[in-house]
Amino acid sequence: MPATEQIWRPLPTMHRIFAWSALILLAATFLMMAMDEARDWRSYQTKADRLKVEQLESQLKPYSSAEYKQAEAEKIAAVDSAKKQLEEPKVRDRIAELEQKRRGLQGQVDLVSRQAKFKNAERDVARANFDLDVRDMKSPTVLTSKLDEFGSQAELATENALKLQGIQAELRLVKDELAEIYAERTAAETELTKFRGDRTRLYEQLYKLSPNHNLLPDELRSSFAAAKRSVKEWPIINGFNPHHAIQYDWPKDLEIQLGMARVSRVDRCRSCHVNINDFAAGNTASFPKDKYHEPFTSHPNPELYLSDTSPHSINKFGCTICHDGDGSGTSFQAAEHTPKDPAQAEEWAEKYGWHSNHFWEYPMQSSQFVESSCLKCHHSVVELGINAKYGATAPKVFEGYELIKTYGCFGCHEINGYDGTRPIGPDLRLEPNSAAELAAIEADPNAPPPGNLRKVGPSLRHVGSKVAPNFISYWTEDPQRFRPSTKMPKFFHLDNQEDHLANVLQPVELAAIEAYLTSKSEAIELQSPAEGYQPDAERGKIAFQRRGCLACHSRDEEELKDIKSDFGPNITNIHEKLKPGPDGFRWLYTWLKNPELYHPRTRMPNLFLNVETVGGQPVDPAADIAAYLMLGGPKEFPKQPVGGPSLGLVYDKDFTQKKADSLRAQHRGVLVSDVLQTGAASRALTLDVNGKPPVDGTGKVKSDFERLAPVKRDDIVLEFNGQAVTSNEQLNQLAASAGAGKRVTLKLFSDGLERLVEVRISTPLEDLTRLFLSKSLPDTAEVDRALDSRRYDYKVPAYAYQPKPDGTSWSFREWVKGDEIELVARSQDEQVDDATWTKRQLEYVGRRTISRYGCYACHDVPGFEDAKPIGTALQDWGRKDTSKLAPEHILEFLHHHGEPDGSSTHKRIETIVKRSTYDKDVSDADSAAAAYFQSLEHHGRPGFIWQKLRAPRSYDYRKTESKGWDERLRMPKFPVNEKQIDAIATFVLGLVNDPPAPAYQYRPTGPAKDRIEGERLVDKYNCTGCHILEMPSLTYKASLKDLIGASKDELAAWFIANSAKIETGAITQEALAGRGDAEAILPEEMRTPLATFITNGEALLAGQLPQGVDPKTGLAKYLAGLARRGGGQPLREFLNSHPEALVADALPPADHPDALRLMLKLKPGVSGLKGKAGKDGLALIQAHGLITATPDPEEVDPELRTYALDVWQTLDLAGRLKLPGSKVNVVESAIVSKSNGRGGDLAHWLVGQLKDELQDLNKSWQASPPPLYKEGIKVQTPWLFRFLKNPEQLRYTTVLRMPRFNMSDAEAQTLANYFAAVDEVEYPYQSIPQQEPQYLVSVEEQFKSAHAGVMDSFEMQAWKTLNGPLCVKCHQVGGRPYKSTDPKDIRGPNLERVEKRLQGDWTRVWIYKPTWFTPYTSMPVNFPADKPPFADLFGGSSKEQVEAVVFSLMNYSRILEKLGVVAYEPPPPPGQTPPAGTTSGGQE
Amino acid sequence: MVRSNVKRVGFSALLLAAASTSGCGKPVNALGHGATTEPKVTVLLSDKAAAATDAGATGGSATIAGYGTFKGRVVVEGAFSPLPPLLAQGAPTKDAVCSEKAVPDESVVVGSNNGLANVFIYLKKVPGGEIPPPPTEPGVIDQIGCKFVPHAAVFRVGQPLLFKNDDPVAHNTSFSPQNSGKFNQAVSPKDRAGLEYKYAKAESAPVRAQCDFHSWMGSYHLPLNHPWGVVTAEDGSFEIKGVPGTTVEFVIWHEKAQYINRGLKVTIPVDGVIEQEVKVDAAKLAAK
Repeated sequence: MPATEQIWRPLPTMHRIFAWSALILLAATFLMMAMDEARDWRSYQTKADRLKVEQLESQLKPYSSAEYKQAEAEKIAAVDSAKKQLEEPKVRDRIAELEQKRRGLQGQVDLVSRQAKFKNAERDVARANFDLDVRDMKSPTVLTSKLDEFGSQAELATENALKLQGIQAELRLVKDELAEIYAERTAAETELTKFRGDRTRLYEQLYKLSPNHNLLPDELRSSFAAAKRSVKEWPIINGFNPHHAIQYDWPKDLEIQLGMARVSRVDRCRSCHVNINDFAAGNTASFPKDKYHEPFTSHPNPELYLSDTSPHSINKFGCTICHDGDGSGTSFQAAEHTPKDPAQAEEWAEKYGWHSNHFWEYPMQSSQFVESSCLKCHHSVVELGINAKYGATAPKVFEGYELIKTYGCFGCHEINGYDGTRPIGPDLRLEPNSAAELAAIEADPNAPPPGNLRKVGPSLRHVGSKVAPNFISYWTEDPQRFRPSTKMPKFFHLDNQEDHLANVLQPVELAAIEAYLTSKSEAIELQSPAEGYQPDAERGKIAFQRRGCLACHSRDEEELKDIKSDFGPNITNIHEKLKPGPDGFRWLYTWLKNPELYHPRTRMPNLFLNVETVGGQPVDPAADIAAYLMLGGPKEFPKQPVGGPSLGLVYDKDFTQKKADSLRAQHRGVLVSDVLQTGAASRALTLDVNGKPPVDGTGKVKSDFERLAPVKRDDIVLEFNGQAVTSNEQLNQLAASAGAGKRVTLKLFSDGLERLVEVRISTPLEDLTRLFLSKSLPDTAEVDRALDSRRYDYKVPAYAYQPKPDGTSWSFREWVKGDEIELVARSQDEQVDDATWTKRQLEYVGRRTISRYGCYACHDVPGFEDAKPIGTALQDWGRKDTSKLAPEHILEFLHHHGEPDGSSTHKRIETIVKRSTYDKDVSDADSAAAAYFQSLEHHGRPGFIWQKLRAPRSYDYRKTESKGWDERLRMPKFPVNEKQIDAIATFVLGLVNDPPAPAYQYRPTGPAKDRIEGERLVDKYNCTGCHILEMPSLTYKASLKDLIGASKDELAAWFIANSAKIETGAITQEALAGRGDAEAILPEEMRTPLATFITNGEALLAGQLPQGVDPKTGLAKYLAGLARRGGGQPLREFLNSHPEALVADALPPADHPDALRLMLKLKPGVSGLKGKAGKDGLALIQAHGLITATPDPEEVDPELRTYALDVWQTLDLAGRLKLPGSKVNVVESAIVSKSNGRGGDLAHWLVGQLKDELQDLNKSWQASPPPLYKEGIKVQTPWLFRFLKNPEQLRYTTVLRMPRFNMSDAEAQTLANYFAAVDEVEYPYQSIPQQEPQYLVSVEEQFKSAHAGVMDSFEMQAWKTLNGPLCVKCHQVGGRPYKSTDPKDIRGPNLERVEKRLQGDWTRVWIYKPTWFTPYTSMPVNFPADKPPFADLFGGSSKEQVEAVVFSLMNYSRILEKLGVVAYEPPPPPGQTPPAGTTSGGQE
Repeated sequence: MVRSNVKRVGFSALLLAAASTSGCGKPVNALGHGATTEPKVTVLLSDKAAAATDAGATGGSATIAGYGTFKGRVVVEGAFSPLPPLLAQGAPTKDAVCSEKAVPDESVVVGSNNGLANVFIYLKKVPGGEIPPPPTEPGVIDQIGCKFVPHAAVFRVGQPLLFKNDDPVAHNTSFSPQNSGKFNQAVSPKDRAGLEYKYAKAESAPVRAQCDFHSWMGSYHLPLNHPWGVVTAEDGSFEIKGVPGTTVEFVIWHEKAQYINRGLKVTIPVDGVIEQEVKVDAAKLAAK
């Protein structure tokens, strides 16, 4: 139909268009729906449901076993039987009676309490009425009547309240009785519910996913629910309240920067990673990585991540704050996943169509750098590497942090953890250079706290007094050449210093550094041993080994091969570098005696190497050690080959006719192959054919600028000052003999023509001076003037050379800000001679070189007190704009070079990628290298830093040709391997300056903070070099039965099963304790553990049981009573609250029960079970302590090859306790792993050395640095602070002393607090009850009442106990000196310190049983429970004597002042007279 | 402590004709005083439970046809000059009573015919058969004149061990076995009842007990889980009766020489006697 007036378009056409449009729209709608239905997350969620159902099926399997069914039936029977008991007529009647009573009473309570509310309200109204009348100043009559009214109402209310209380009390009694009657049923029902609990939970989960599953019990199954569930998954329907849906996490306050805006973060990652926070009981992954693949796995380590109880719960943190990526993405690509290496990238591209998206600023961290993110919140870093609760959670990033501290990267590259005063990340800054700088920082409220890191290298302030001539330049040129293990990086002979220019200039720079440092070195006063003292190197060697040097240093000697210390340098060849002769010896002697004299910020401690008298002769250990270290004598080091006067040209060594022909020249003269950039010939001036300077049109000689005509490559030098040039050597000779500063004429054949030029001969030193001057002076003319006048006086006024009016001198610094200060003349008319000028130039170039390379970042260098770091700051490098990185020609470099052997890195990576793709067989290290290389190809940060650390100067590849000498890259090459580079890169990439809200940052306070700060100091001062901080351990397989007899649970189960037999007397306590007929005790293997348990319990539970229960006679029945009730719950509680009764070994009669309880309070049990018993019945056990025996190498019988360990902890094995000091003995084949614990390398080594000499392992440990295990429960924190500041001599059995560290007050405080924080005790002050005056009053009272008739006061008897003939055997005590006749005699510490040093409870336990704290001690049990040493003191009570000794120790100085020296001698035993001449030490 | 650098000491074994003597063929119970006392002979018990308690000591299940005797001497090869006393008479010391008499150095005691006393000779592993239970009467180590008496002794695991003190001054007895708990306790003057200690496990080598109050005082004792161990008498002689009649290994150990032999293989004749002389190089005894 055509268009008419009514219609504009023909209708059929329009219909067709509409029809097609509708169809297209419909198709588009279907397509959209289909695409939406096909989204990845839907299939993942469907599959996850299936996996979960499968898992539930397998978890439900055991519940259909016959054993389970039988156990369930038993529980049901128990409930039935309990119910049956309630149906007994007598019980039933009573219940009925009580229930009726209860109902009645309950009704009354309800009624009366309702009434009470009314009565109270009426009373309150009366009070209010009275108050109103008072306000209205009503007459006293009215007021009285109102008050009376209130009184009567109040009385009624009180009456009612009392009535209510009475009824409630009655009701409570009834309820209690009912509860008692129902107790058994309730317990049985609870037990049944608990037993079924897990299964019920599984049923519930299964019902949710598959309501009609055949594993569900019939009453739960529902086919309707199943159908409903499946309908809900249909397209369109699934839009309404779906069970498959996108999951959102909205972490509060964790914003993300998107372009210019900071917006809330939304993470939808869980839409695909469905099971990521699905954890089973005990915080274990329900879908572990080893059984399931992504995206169906649970997150690893739920203790730490995602679970509700972890510190990073998913609800609070979401995902992308740690992982980065695009949280809103719901497809593989949109989430911005990052592959771990090129092979994975390829695989993903194929599987998921993945490609790298440069436009998203936060690509997901690949697994390689996942730890980097931790730094956003964990600014203190330490807790990521050393963490008592979670272990090392980010070991790589922590390693990177440690490496940066070790190598001192922060010296050049500031890592400022603050933006103003706002924390933004880890803070690694150098400490202020001076006290003034520190004070200024502290005074500024807008400044962050000062940095606290020391420069990592030694001070060079006095280096002139230390090292041999030429050593500085020899060392600096290649530090590893002299000391392969050095941490000093290499600055010279790197990739960008391999050309002719570098060959000439490097030696100058090296010589210049030496000249500067030597010239600026400040003198110090060196010390010497006493006049005439003959140092003994042999003695020095022993002192070196024993006085603690080896805690930090190593030496390449056969007998020291096990010493791996690297905190200080390996000092094998220290004698070579020190000054020859007595000077070097005196320097070393002074350094050993007092290291702070040479370097105030040194980490080398003062080892108290004081002069001692041995055998009547003085021995100076410092002199002896110095003599030992100086053995081998000095070495001569070569001078740097600093070049002399030259033209600055390099000649072709092989100038042939052929080459001449190619240049269309005659074959004569020498061919220039290179013109040094800074050399004389580069400044050549043209001459006319007559050898005269050319003139311009006006006849004036042209300026130097106009005449500049540098010699070029491929020029041929034909004549030198008119003399024909015949050879390279001859030309060099001619230049050298002409001398620096001389102008010579060269005839050149250049570009087909001959030409004459004038060259002013110079030296490389002058060239460098000229180069550097040209940077600070405005033009060449000024430079020439400075060189010609041999001084730098640019803008220096004449008066500067004159004294000020007040007679003092001007500082040239006012006019000369830079390094040119070295070139300033000393007076205006000074005639600077050649030697002085050379020296000044050298010092100038040296200073410039030190400035350029930033030597002062690691060393204290005179003249650089205010110098600033030279490198890029790193605090936000992890987000550095990649367009600002300069990869230059790095890929070309790596194409040809890059590997240590010079081969191509590109090729190596190609091979790795191939292997990775096809063989799936590459190491983590190779995979990482490939990832870095790929990153470099894409201009990524990781690749850039990787190569920067591998070969820092390689970025100058083919750049040196177009760069000035002083523009070349300067970053040195550190001796780090690829693994270390990976760690450093991981750390630096985490520095993003993007801290989340403060609430998310880990900012510990109190003990947690002190632990972290303490760990930093432990590291800083290398405490672990000497001391063990965590005891070594053995992990082994053993049968728990053999070890502990029976576990706590087994004991409880036995009592529950046998309570009736005990109560009826079928099993007696005597039988249980192993003293009577044990026939009734079944199974047999329970007899021994029960005997230990009851025997120990009899001794340990006195006073711990309810009144009237005597442990000696009533323990068994009491326990049976507990076992019978509530399914044994009271018994289990009893066992939990009385761990002392659960000691696994028989308690010796000498041990005090109270002491054991106290010890367990101080050292509670630590579980030693690391794995449940496997099929072999063996459990995995870990015991910490000192290993006392290793298999005898000559023993071949495997059964006799055993390890032994003294346990130091209280070892909890399934509830039974192995006490500290007990033995663990394991055959070699049962050992699973051994650990050396943490620290104490020197102690272990020294013990090995001393064992042969002392013939006793215990004494060897006594002679070595003590383990600092549980130091916090032992010493008083204030004492520890003072001790750390200034360690006094404590022990006499040791061969070395605690040295004095260069530690600030704040550091000593932190470290003292650290030990208390680790052991979770109160600090910084611990109360010592024995020192309270009230304590004395109360013990004095107790003493008088317990020991009536005794003349002595408590204090006097206590003092006598301490001063009896026991303590004095080994200690100086009570004013009486320690006497020894044999050097092997063991001398204990002075007791006068105890009151300030030790904590009260620790001291008590120590006196009771020393081996509970220190198994190797020589201190014996002096006061055994069964044999008091002094029968006439404290009525012969051992326990009272111990407490008295502790009292005396804790009040030592006060009592000594009050009672004086008292030497107590106990009366001889009855019928015994002491033989003549027998005296104890006490009376001598 | 077993030292790793112990060299094997050469010895020549002299196998003598086995002589049938009365008294052979029955195991003896453990003695506390080495072989200086005539062993008390007891009838072999057939209590399986008792044997099972010491089952750790059985090295195999070989059937034992009978029992025999192992005897011999340990002799020093080469000259050995007697050691000076550890504490000379009247020497100044903490407790004067200690130097009333000289305290001899018993670390090497060479008796008549160069016999070496105080050498421990004990079965390394029980080859099978039954093991008599440990005696209930305690073994005693006394401290008399600031010296341990006896200087060397063998005990049984489970047998009470008493440390006594006959001196009017306190001693501090301490020892650290490898397989059982430590002992470190002061013994009061004139404590005749003694302090008791019971070994829970056997040791593979003798344990040194010492007094930390008097640094020279030391002695050795060895807890065994079988009765086949003795200490040589002053003339170096030893005799172990009732040894299972099969090939067994003996450990021979001396405090100075350490392991003289880690496993001397001897075939014990049933109802017979095997005699052997063990030689020790005098140089080995002079060390440290």
